[in-house]
Order: sequence, then C-alpha cells, then structure tokens
Amino acid sequence: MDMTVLEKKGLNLILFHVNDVLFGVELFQVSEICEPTGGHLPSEIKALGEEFFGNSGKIKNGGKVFAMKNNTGARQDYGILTNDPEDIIEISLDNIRPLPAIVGKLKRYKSLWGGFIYKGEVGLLLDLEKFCAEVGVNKVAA
Amino acid sequence: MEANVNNKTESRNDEIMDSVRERLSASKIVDVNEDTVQLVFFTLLGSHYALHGSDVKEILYPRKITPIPGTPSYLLGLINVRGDVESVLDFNLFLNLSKEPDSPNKRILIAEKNGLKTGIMVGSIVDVVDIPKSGIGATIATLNDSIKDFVVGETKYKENSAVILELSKIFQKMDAD
Repeated sequence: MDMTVLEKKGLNLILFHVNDVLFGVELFQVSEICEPTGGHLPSEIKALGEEFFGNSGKIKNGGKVFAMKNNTGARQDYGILTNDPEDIIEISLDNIRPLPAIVGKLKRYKSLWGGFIYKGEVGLLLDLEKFCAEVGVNKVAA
Repeated sequence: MEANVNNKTESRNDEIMDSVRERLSASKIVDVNEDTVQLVFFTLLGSHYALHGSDVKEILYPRKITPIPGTPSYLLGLINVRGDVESVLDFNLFLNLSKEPDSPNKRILIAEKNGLKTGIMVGSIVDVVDIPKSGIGATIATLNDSIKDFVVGETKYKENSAVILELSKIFQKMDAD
C-alpha cells in the first residue's frame, strides 16, 4: 500500500455491478471511460463479466470501456468492457476488509485483492492492471 | 424429656445428612456432565448432522451473498457480518449432495477452527445439545464416500441418527482443492 493511501486513510473507487456483484476499481488505474462503439478505443479489450461469470456476465446496454493508465499516467493500449460506472467514492480504510483466508486459498484471480462494504453491501476490490495481466490482455505486465 | 430432645436432634441431623448426600450425589452428576461434548445439530436434505459446539461461533439468518469469480462452486461468496466480511460455503455442494430446497429454515453457521473461519449454509438448525461421550459411536460403513472423509462419529438425536462432522477435516480438504 502506498503512503498516499495511508495518509488519506481511504481509497478512491469507481463502482460498478456485473452480474449483481459490486466491484470497486481504484480511480488512479483508469485513464479514460469511453463508449464501446467509439473510434478512440484501446486495441485490446477484455469483457470483464464474461471472463468472471461466463454468459451470465454479459454486459447489457453496451456498457463502457475502462482504458488503463500505465505507471507514468499515460493511457495504455488495453482496457476492459464492463457495465456503466455507478459512482466514484472515497471509501475509508475502516470499510475495507481482507478476503477471508479460505477465499485467499481458493480464488483463481489474484486481481481480486480485497473486500469492501458500501451501503451494507459487500463489494470486491479489483486490481485492473493485475486482471489484464492474468487474462493475457496486458502481456507486458504478465 | 431428654430423650425427646435427643430424638429431635437426631432427626434434624439425619435431615442434614440427607441433604449433604443429595448435594454429593448432585456433584457426581456434574462429574458425569464434564464428560460430555456439546454438539450443534443441523439438517441437510432432512438428514441430521452435527458439528462440535466449540467450533460454532454464531448462527445467522441468510442474507445477501456476494459471489466471488474464479472460486469453487461450493464457495457461495461473501457476507456482511456486522461490518466484517465472512465467506459462506454451500455444505450440500461441498459434500456432493443434491441442492437444498429453498426454505425459510435455512441458516448460516459461522464456524471457526485453527484460525480459519467460514459461514456454512445448512437446511435448518435443530438443536444445541450436550451429549455424553459414551453416546458417540463409530460411523456406519454405508455412509456416502464424499462425506466419510469428514466424519468423526455418529450419535442419536431424538431417535434420529446424526453424523458428526469435523471442521478441521473440511478445512483440510479445501486446502487441498
């Protein structure tokens, strides 16, 4: 965890649901949120819902593409397709929880790195960079 | 007169001694109780099972479960328990049993052993009872293979046979998955 997070005692998260599951992605990882039909799209796009949930994770009403940033803040040429973002929030570290040890042993995706509680609902923290590496979109990071 | 007083005293002393004997006898019953084990009885598809009471921390009503992608199907997901995040297992799936029908009696047992903790969805909670250790017998040979590995014994609950499961064996299996 970087010092900024500790100093701020929280994370800035973009929230969205896929297949009725709440996900939170750190704001700094996303350079741009764009329409999936636009001309300014990353060349490699992974459909997050289909990867995680198969057919039941299909995006409805088009969704949005989250283009990624690299370490310098510039946009990278890959991203994910997911449902429309619902909110951008600052969530306190008090509402962030490690995944239970059992889940840590059983989960396939290392990109799911924690849980958080938002309005009583349990959400999953998703590291986009790691996710793209895991599913082979970002071959350099892999 | 003196004999009368003596008789009264003797009778009183007898009463005291009877009372003392009763107390001693009661303490013997407590000794017997010390040789018991607390079991939490629950059902899966109507059959009785039990976990050791010392391993069960809490019993909850079902609530919204957040599924976790890329985990075995028996891991239903995560729940909010007063601001903490706990996992929930579908015991039927884990034990290779048929799906539990929807019912208002379903409950989530929060179980913990050796530093590992999880919720376990069961068909219903039946009772929490202290059973004498002598009332726990060996497992019958006809048990389903998928359950055998987790069983430490068998007992009776109101004429029903109940299989006692060992939580640490369940965690060991999950560790191997």
